[in-house]
Amino acid sequence: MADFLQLTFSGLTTGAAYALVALGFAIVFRGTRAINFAQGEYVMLAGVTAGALHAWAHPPLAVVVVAVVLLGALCGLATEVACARFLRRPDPHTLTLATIGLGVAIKAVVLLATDRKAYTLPGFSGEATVALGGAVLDAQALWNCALVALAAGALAAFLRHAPLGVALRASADDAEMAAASGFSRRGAAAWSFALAGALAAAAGAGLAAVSPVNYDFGTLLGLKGFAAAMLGGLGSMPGAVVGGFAIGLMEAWFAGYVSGTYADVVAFSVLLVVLFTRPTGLFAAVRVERV
Amino acid sequence: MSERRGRLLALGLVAAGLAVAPLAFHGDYEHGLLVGFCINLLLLTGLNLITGHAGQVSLAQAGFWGLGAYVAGILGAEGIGPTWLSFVAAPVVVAAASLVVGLPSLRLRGLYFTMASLGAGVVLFLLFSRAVELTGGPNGLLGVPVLELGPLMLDTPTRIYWLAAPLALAGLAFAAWFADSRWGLALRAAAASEPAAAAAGVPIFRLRLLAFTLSGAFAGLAGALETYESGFVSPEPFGFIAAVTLLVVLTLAGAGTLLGPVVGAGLLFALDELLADAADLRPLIIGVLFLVTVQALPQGVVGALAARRRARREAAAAPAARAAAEAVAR
Repeated sequence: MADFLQLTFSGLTTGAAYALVALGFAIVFRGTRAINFAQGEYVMLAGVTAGALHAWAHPPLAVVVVAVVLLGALCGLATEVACARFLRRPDPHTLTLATIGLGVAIKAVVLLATDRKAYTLPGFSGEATVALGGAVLDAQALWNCALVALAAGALAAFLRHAPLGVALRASADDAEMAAASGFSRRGAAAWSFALAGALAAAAGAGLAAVSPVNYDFGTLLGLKGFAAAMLGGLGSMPGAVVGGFAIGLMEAWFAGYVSGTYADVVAFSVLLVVLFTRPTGLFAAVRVERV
Repeated sequence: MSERRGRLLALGLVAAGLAVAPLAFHGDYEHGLLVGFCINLLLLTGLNLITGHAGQVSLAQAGFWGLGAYVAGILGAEGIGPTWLSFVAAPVVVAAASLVVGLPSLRLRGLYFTMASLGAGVVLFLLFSRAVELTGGPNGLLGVPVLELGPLMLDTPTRIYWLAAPLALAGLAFAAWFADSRWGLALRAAAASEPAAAAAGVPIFRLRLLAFTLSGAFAGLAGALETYESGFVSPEPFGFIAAVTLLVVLTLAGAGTLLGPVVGAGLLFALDELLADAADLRPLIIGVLFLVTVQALPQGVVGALAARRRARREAAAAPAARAAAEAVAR
C-alpha cells in the first residue's frame, strides 16, 4: 500500500506538468486549430531560465516564478509572430509544421547558451515532506498539483467571465463570426499562444523544483503532454487536466510494477491507442477526419 | 522536351554526378560523407513517396531508418547468415513494420496521421535505447562485421560508396517510375482532392498503404547502409530531430518532385561539410530554415523553380492562344 501511494504521488507530480502542457495544447488548438509543438520547449526554457535566475541572483522564489511565467507568455506571443508572420491566411497545417521548426530552434538556442548544463530550483517550501500512509510525499508534489488547480481555475474563470476570454471562446466556436464582430483570428491566435506559453512556463518552474533540467528535457515532455491532450480529447480543457494526470499516473504505476526502463513508452502507446480507437479522446471536443 | 525525356535526362545527370563525386572529393572522411549523401537520398526518396506524392506528412521515417540499421546490426553482430543478407532483411522487416503502422494510422487524415507516425517513430526510438539486451542501449551495438559481397570486402568508405551509389540511383529511378505510374498519378489525385479521386474509383487507402510500405523499404535499405558504413549502431541518429530534419530538407528542396530528394540530400551534405567543426549549430540552422521555408516557400526550391518555368511558358503561350481565340471568334 505504501508502495502504491508512493508511486501515485510521483505520478501526480509529473502528471501535473503534463496537465499544464496539455492545457496549452488545448488552448492553442481551440484558438488556431493547430498543434503547437514548441509547447514542450517553453517548459524547458522556463525551467532552465528559472534555475539560472535562481543561481545568479537568488531572488525570492515567487519572483522567479512570476518572471518565468511572463517569459513564457512572451514566448507564446513570439511564436505567433514567428510562425504566422509570412502567411496571409495561416492554415493549421502550416502553422503546426512551423511550430516544429521553432521548437527545434528554441532547443538549439538553449543548447548553445547553456552548453548542456543542468539547472535546478529549490522546492517551493524547501525540503519539506509530508508523511502519509507510510509513504513520503515531497511537498513539491502538492505545489505542482496546486499550480494545476490554480491554472485550470483561473483559466476557466477567465474564459467564462473576462471579455477577452469570452471573445476567445467565440473565436474557437466560429472564427469568421468572431472576426466579423471585431475579434480577429490573428488576435485569437496571439492570445492563445500567450496563455499556452504562460501555462507551460509554470510547469517548467514546477519541474525544475523536482529534478535538474537541461536543454534536452522539453521535447519528450512536450510530446507526452500532447499524448495527454489527445487522451483527454484535443481542445477540451477538462480533458487536458484529466489526460495529464492519467498519463502521469499510468507512467508511474507502470514504472513501479512492470518496468522502469520502458515507462517512457507508455504515453506514446496511449497516444497510438487513442488515435486508432477513439481519436476524439475521452471528452470529445472535435470531430476527427477519417478516410 | 517531353516530360519523360526530361526525367531520363535528370536521372542521367544524377548518375553522372554520383560517378564523378568520389573523384571531386578525396579521402575517407569525404567519402564517408558521400555515403551519407546516398543514405539521405534513399531516406528522402522514400519519404517523398508518402509525404510528397501521397501528401501524408510522416514523422516516422527516422524511426524506420533506425529499425533498418538495428536489423542489419543485430544480424551482422550475431553472425546470422552472410552479411549481404542484411540488405534483404532490413528492407523487408521495415516494410512489414511500416505496413503494420500504416494499417491503422493511414485511416486517419492530415495532422492525425502525422501524429500517429510521430508516435510510432518515438516508440521505435525509445525501444532502441531501452531494449538494452537486444540493441546495446545508449552505448550502442558493437561488433558489426565488415560487409562482404562474395569475394569483395567492402571495408573502406570508398568501397561502400560503390555499393551505396547504385542503390540510391536505383531507388530514385524506381521512385520516378512509380510516381509516373497510374498508382502515382492516383496518389497525387487523392492528395489534391480526396472526394474527386474516390469518386473516380481510386482505392485511396490501399494506395497510401503501398506508398508508406515502400517508404519503409527505402528506410530499411538506408539503415543497412548506415550500419555497415559506421560499423556500429547507436540510437542517437534516429530521434525526433532526425525525423524533423528529413521533413525539413524535403520540404525545403521540394516535396513531390523528382529532384527534391537529390537537392535535399545535397543540402544535408553541404550542411555536414560546412558544420564539421560546429555540429551544435546544426539543429539551430535546421529549425530556422524549416520555420522560414514552410511559410515562405511551401513548394520548396525545386517546386518553386518548376512553377516559375511553368508560368513563363504559359506567359509565352498566352499571345498565341489569344491570337488563336480571336481567329476562331472571327
